[in-house]
Amino acid sequence: MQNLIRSFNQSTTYIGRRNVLLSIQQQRTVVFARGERVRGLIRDPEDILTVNGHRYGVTPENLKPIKTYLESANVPPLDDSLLLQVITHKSFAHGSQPYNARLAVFGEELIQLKASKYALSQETKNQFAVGGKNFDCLGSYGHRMLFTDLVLSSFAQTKGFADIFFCRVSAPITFKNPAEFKPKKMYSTLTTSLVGAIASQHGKKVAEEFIEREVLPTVLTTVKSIASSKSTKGSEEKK
Amino acid sequence: MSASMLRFASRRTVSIYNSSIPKALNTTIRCIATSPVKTLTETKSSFPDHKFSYEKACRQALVDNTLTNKSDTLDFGAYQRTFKLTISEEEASKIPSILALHARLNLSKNYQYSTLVRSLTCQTADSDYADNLQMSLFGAHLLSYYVTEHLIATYPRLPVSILRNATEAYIGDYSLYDVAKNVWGIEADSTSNLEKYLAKEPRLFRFGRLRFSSHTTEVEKGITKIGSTSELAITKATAFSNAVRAIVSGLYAHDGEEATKEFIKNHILSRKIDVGKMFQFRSPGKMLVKLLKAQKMEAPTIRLISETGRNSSSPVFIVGCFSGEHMLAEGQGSSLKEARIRSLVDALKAFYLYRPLDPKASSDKDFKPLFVDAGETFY
Repeated sequence: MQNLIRSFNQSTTYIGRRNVLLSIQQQRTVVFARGERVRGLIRDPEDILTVNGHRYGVTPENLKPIKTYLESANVPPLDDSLLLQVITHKSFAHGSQPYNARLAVFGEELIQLKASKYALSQETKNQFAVGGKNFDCLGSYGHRMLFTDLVLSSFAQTKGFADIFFCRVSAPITFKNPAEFKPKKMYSTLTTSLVGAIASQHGKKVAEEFIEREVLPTVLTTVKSIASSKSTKGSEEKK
Repeated sequence: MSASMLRFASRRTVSIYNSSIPKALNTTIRCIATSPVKTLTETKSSFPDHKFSYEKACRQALVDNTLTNKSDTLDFGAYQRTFKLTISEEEASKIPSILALHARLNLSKNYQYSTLVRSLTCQTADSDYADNLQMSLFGAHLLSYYVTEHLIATYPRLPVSILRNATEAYIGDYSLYDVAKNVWGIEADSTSNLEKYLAKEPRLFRFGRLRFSSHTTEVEKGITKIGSTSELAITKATAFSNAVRAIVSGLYAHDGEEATKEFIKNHILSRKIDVGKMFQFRSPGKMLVKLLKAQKMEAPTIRLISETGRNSSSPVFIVGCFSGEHMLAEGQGSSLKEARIRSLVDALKAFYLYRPLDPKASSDKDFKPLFVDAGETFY
């Protein structure tokens, strides 16, 4: 633990219109704690605003991973402050900085809808289809997996824009390597809020194209591998 | 913990002790902790569920044994459920209540009568007819997206908890139950086979009503029989709301997404909900101080604007909540404290219920980039 001592001086003020100067000199010492948490001590604000060596702010270094990905994915440009909001979780700095919760809610709804529309768009010979749409596939394991936190967080990590994520996680005591603890519920907000940001700035159509072009192919591959490992496990257990 | 103490323990309190209590005893505690009628009508869940009804509708899972194929395949066109029967278009067009509903909802000619029949058929154990389970699931996705989109565009600063509450108010089970029953005039098929026989009602006509396995049955007026042996039993509100969701998804299948959006706008979003009443501030003064600090504005001050009858039995005080020279809100009350609290609450509501002029949703043709708020300060 490293302690940091800072002093504060209260400024002088004029009272009313009279030329009376009231000067209060007051000095107090605040001890900030850095590193591991110390009960009863105030954490250094600089420490709160830094995650894995990255200081919070609109800087080229912070936005590099997400910007690189968006350029490679041919997504129309988004504002830097909005991108920083996308990579900030509400757990970061006690929610004092703009965070991605509302964008994530919006994006999640759109991903859910688009995944269902994708499932319905497949050609079918089912006699119980309605208007050529096979509703029988909805609610199945395969369909529900398309928009789970597991696959959406995996997408963010595969594409590399989860490298810098301003969040505060507390790994379970039993977890061997706390630095690698990445809760899927938290990391999935990276994908959902990115979709929400695209939808809110460029419209639903552009966001849906992004989901269809970028998110769904990766998600389908992930779901396939999960399903195959599940069936392998099942057959081994039977044996 | 003695048995008498457990009797009064809430469900939440009991769950803390779950790990130390044997499984059999745990189940008993849950039964004691809830109302006796509730245990008879609801299926016991292994863990508490805090989801809204619209969220539950979006996450309905299909039981694997109702499918003829594997449920983890990604060939979505090949999925097939174990339905055996369906009502044909010709048969459906002979049902008066279906024709009336079609006309009442002003549905297009593309919308088939047989789809309406399927929308009114819930999953039951003893039926081989195609049901509305998955249609209602897709309808829930459509409704929750368009309602969320509308709310985010209209109130960009709404806290997430209020956003979810407002969505529930629009498309929750009870709201859609009201739409189905009192606006669209859908009726439940509650008459017995004997009554139908005595009334000489054609067999086909029952498909014009909402059919579902209910937890409760009304034996006669004033007497309700509680309890159903079926695992597929659902509440009346869920059944009616699922019918609405299925009708919405039927519209998507026949007329496309644009028509569905228009339908949702006319039938669901046209209903007025009071978002302002959903807010409940425990300490509005503290919240406003935090909010203004986050917005880099001056701390709030309350100033008396006018007063009348201070010494009378009915005084009226009007105060203003200011940040620097800007008045954020005005409050009035019969005491200074009441007026102050009202002004603080109104100042908070004025911030959170900010509404852009002529809001456009992201799916609108003349869409403009939305205002994205930083999120509510909670610390």
